[in-house]
Amino acid sequence: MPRWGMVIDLLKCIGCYGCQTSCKAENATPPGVTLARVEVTEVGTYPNVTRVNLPLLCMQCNNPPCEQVCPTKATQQREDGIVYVDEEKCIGCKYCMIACPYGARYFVEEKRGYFGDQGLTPYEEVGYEEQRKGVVLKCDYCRHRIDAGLAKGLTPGVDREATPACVINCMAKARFFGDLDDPNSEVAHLVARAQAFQLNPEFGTNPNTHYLPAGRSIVSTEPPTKPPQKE
Amino acid sequence: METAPQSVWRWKIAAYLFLAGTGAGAVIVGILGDFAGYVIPAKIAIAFGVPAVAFSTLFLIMDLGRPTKFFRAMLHPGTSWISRGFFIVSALIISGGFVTILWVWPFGSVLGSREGVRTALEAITFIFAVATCIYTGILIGIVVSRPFWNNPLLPVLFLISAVSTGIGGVFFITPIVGSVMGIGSSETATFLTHLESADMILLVFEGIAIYLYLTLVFDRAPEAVGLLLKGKLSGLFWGGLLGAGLLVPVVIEFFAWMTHEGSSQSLAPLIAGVFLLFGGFLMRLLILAAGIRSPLNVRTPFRVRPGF
Amino acid sequence: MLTVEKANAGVPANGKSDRWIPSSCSLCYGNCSILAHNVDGVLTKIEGNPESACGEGRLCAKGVSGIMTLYDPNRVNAPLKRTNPKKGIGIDPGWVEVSWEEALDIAVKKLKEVYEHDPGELFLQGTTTCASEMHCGLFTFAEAFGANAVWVGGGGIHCGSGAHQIGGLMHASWSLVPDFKFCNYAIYFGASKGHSAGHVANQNAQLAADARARGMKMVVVDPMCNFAAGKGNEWVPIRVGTDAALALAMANVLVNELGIYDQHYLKQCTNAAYLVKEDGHYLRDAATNKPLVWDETGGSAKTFDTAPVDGMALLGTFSVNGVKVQPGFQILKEHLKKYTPEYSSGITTIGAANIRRLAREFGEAARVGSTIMIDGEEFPYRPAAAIYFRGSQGHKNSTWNCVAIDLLNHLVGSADNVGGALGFNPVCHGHPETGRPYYAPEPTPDGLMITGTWMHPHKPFPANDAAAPTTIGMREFFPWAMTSPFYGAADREKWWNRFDIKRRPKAMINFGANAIMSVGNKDVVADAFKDVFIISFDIFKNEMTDFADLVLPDTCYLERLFPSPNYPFIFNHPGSMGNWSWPIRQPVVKAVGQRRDFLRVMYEIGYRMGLLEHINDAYNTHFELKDPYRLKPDVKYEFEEIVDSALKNFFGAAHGLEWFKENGVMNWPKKAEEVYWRSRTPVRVPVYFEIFKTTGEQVREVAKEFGIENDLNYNAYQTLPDWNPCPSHECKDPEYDLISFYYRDTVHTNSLTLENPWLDEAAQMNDYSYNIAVNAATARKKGLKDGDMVWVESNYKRRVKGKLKMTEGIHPEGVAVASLAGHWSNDMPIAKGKGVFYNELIEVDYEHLDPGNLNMDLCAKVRIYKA
Ligand SMILES: Nc1nc2c(c(=O)[nH]1)N[C@H]1C(S)=C(S)[C@@H](COP(=O)(O)OP(=O)(O)OC[C@H]3O[C@@H](n4cnc5c(=O)[nH]c(N)nc54)[C@H](O)[C@@H]3O)O[C@H]1N2
Ligand SMILES: Nc1nc2c(c(=O)[nH]1)N[C@H]1C(S)=C(S)[C@@H](COP(=O)(O)OP(=O)(O)OC[C@H]3O[C@@H](n4cnc5c(=O)[nH]c(N)nc54)[C@H](O)[C@@H]3O)O[C@H]1N2
Ligand code: SF4
Ligand code: SF4
Ligand code: SF4
Ligand code: SF4
Ligand code: SF4
Ligand SMILES: [Mo]
Repeated sequence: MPRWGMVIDLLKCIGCYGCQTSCKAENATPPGVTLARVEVTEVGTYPNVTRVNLPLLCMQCNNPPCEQVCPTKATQQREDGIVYVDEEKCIGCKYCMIACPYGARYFVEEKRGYFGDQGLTPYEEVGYEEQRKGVVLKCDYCRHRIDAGLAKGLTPGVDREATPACVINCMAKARFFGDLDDPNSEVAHLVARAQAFQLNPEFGTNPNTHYLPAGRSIVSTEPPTKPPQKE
Repeated sequence: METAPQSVWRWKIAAYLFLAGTGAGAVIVGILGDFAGYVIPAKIAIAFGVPAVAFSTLFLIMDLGRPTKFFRAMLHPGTSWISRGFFIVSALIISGGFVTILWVWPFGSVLGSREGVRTALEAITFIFAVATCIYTGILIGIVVSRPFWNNPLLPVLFLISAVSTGIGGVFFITPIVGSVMGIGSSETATFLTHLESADMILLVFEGIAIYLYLTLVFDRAPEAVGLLLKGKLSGLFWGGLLGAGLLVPVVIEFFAWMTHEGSSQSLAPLIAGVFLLFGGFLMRLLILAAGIRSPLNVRTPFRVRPGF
Repeated sequence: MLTVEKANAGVPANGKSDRWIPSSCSLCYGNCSILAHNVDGVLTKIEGNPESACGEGRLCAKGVSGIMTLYDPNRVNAPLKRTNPKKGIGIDPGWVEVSWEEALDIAVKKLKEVYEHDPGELFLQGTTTCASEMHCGLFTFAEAFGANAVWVGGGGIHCGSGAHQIGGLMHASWSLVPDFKFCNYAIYFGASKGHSAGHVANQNAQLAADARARGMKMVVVDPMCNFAAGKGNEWVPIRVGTDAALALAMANVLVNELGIYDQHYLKQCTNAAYLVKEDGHYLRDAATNKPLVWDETGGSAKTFDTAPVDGMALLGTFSVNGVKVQPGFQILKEHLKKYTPEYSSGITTIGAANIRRLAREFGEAARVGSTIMIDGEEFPYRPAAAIYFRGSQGHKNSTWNCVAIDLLNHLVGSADNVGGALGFNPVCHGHPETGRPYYAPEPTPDGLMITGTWMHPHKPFPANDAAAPTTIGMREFFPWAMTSPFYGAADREKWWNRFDIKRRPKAMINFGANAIMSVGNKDVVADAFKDVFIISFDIFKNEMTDFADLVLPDTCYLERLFPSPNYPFIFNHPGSMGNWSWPIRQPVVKAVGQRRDFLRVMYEIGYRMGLLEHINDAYNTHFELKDPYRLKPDVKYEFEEIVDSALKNFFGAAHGLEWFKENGVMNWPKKAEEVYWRSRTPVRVPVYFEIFKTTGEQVREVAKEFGIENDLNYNAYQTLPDWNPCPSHECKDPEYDLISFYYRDTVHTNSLTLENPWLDEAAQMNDYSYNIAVNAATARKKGLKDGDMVWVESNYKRRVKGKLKMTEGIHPEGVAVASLAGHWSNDMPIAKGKGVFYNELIEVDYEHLDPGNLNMDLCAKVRIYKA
């Protein structure tokens, strides 16, 4: 049984938001729901400063608090590690959103399209079809792609078709996907690196999504120039 | 830019936590009162408390995305505190319901002299009442990634506040019921005066507890504490919770207690009650709102802004 | 890999029609190759096409969001006629729907009128966002019509008159990138290439990321710690508009302090050795009129093409039959001495020690003299690159800013050599089977380089002789200008009158460009357009269409056919080693409503005007059609037939439209000598700019005729680069203490994508996208705090309002605004009111143009205060 995992290389990531929008396109998520998202922050003080781009998604925790707190068992974890929501069972109590340390869950308030009162676009008509309101959505590593791919005998992380949308689309090639339990997989090699880390391990969630550090000195040797004097 | 408060669970959940706490608090007060021999006001307290708890659950259900499916919330008691709470609160409502029906209503005991049963029922109800107050604290207290809540003191804080808002409820309701039904005024009066002094101490404790709490969580949740003391929530915190919710009632109670006039006709308890309830609600609201997620740590010398 | 056939193999069980259609994105001019998923006629997903070098299967945030642009309910779906004769900002045109027939009649009638009176009164405008169709449609029509006034809205005059002029002159290409695969040290001057925007944004992002992982050091010179700087090893905050001062100081350190320069390269690939007389012109051979060099081996002057390369003198003073001459390089070396790090430090605010360090790091990284084997052949190895683009070139000193920066590459010999600064694909030997497309740079008689191909009919070099202008753009008088901003300039009348040009723009055909927003201050531009009859092809009713008389509903890039989205390769085809890819653009869904392709409609209009022969001929030129594929003068073709001919012309009878529809893209491998052509190609580039001086003298002559000799600025017509100040540097009013500038947001393309709700959502999640970035310390000094509403006001008293974002990542004097935002059109509801309309602060007049290439100055001296 594989254990699917992702590695995001923060040195490569340029904060382009492509993962966010490609996830949208793949999963037809409603407004305000960004299963993949990017947080852009700056570090340091002028002139020794840089940007840090942090792409986020469900960490697919091996020890998922969201699953533990879910009163309906709507949130479940598959043997391959993927944590998903069974929309049929979900009652929208949002406890999982409270419990998730990574803000990876979204509540769908109402069935509304991106153009509001102007109605749903043909794309949304199709995409929102079997979607329910009043439930919580989360990234499930595009399990539909993985499962369909496996059924075709493809390898997730290697074959595009069987790999999460955000991974194959990343224009800095910063995202990697595969079976963490397969010692020969690319992700296994990356995670084996000394610098590889999980977000906030102290939460005890033991995520299957790992990161490689932006790992670059942020020091500009430029001495601070005097700000203009206001007379 | 500016830190945003926790926005997943808002006023409906606060109302639930508050009402459930207040109701359970009132039940606790009532049962203690009954044990202490203040039968009438005890009955009034219980008659107020149990329905309050029942009523509180409506807010919880209202907050659901799919309210009609609320009963599914009982399916995961193994690990989920919502499921567990489902059972605790239900138990309180049921046993409390029995007490009310069998003994409180119609204020003449159906049980007659069968004291044992009543005491047993009250004991059970008492336990579930306390459990309710505490569980509301555990519900959010267990969330590791929200350091402002994730603290053993939270259930204690909730318990104290529950009892004091319970008393508030009693203050509020007793004089009204008392005067309307014209029953046990002298007994009620002395009961209230005792409560007033008890509550004063309680409020002082609550004040201390809040102070302790903030200092205790500060290291792990500076952003959250900042949110309360100088951020978006500071107005409600200083003016609302500390001012109106704590200071005002203490002062009122203090003067009432000085002048020793605690008759059921006096308005003092009623007014104090209103402020107490208001404070109790604000406390839940603010604690909820301040429960923001820990910043994510990217192994760079900084904290990504905390999440809501 | 998700290949087209695999994806389309077998109809799915549910019996739905389900296809992945290969096409091309066009939400910016990158034109990445896409696969579009069409399920039962609905577009359900856009992915990159892994089989194409143009993106290699990946897309930016915009590319995958195209669905929302296609299905935007605010798109124009029928031809619209204006009923309100009054034109102005915020005035309702009073649109009424008309049939295509009526619309075409109106258009043809008006255009005939102009054509018969004076074709020079027609003014064509297009958007760079759809560069490929724009170039094809506008230039073929202009050609056929005899129109001589074309511009691309804010395009070119913001982003390229300098960059592309110098790119063409020095690299035979449109743009410059580091050779990411081999570069070890890249220094960026105001470009985000590989980190957000720029040409080939997506492919470069992949290459740059790999380079970062490989350990390429990147130093980013930018007033803001932006996308590139945020990923760089070092951010060098610079005062806006002073890049030339930094680059020239670095050059000075290299040449005069460290003595690091590639003598062989300078002698073989530049005019550094050409002997120059005291009058600034070349010393020429009496017999052949070729420029002479000093041959040290023979101790005599020889023509540049007969002297042994390594014998040429770069330094010294010589006397050739009594005439005192010096090699251009000797003069350059002297000229540079003025730019001591200390002197430039005062201009750029960058410490002198750092300027020296940067120069040394760059010089050492270049490994002058080293070589490397690629595909079994030896090439010069110069893994250091100096890169410029929109930011550094968008100033009054545009030409010299670019020259000064690029000079660094030519000093160390890294231009188009392995690891150095690459022009995009200046050489292509064609598809193995057909040998097409084929082009390569060629020398002028003086030995200087002419590009093998170009985006415009007219190549950047050699420039025409300056002449008295008669066209409304007046480019005859500004031979180095790529395009002319005068169409929308505040002082256009003044200039027309100066040359007593009686012509006035009567009609305009607009393809997309939102010029009211994209050029500069909206009122200035609006004034220029209010009396022109405007036929606008657009997909939205934007601020520009408010001025149109006729709006024609265009298809968007997902609904139309085009044979060559990535050709010419010098524009938006990945530069370094890899594959050549020739993708097409084809409809991935049926066009909605009454939308029609711009190109088909233009062809139809041309036909109805009786210009068929000329149009067909223009297409023959545009697609380089050779027999048997040349269009016949008297046949009216379907657009499919033209596309088919174009494709077969390049790739043979077996590879026409049908083949491309199925396969999407034609690939063949690049050869090392195509990418690293410099050491293999007998052309030279100037490091001494006699060519500009010559133009300058002609300009002066013409100016004399009109008595305006002294009203002109001749800075651009020197022989050597200088830093010249922007008006913002010369404003001495102490009230105005900051300098504003704009930059591109990674999720938005100019003003277009602000209407895309997925991208708008992303931008709203970003602190910088829609706010005004100001240095935190500066803001505190002014008593401002994060989130305050503030006014930014220029010293011309123009102002814009926005929300303040305090940041540590910007120069203390800087005020930065992202994107081309702040739409006010009610017909773009998602975009309306989002972000800040920076261009309100931009002046459009000669005073704010590069006097040579006419690029606009895009910075402004401003003050900020609480709103
Ligand atoms: N403040 C600020 N000003 C800028 C810039 C900036 O970044 N910030 N960028 C500058 C630069 S470098 C440039 S190149 C220019 C660009 O300026 P423009 O060329 O005006 O580009 P956009 O502003 O994106 O406007 C393009 C318009 O074309 C229309 N359009 C899009 N696709 C199609 C299509 O398929 N068919 C038709 N018919 N129309 C279409 C859309 O309505 C869109 O509004 O702006 C310049 N001005
Ligand atoms: N995402 C995205 N991609 C695009 C576009 C888009 O709108 N969005 N537009 C396309 C077009 S039309 C063009 S022309 C290209 C332009 O692509 P870029 O050249 O990258 O354009 P900008 O981001 O405007 O400018 C680059 C940098 O110049 C900096 N800068 C501003 N003034 C100065 C200065 O005086 N000196 C220095 N050293 N730096 C300065 C800015 O802070 C910015 O970081 O991008 C193309 N690709
Ligand atoms: S798509 Fe890749 S580069 Fe872009 S933000 Fe996401 S992870 Fe970073
Ligand atoms: S990241 Fe959040 S949602 Fe995902 S598994 Fe962990 S706790 Fe659950
Ligand atoms: S919202 Fe749904 S998934 Fe989340 S905890 Fe409640 S029932 Fe479970
Ligand atoms: S894995 Fe799939 S669902 Fe998860 S973020 Fe990426 S695209 Fe979205
Ligand atoms: S870079 Fe430009 S062409 Fe490529 S996907 Fe992005 S918007 Fe489309
Ligand atoms: Mo541009």
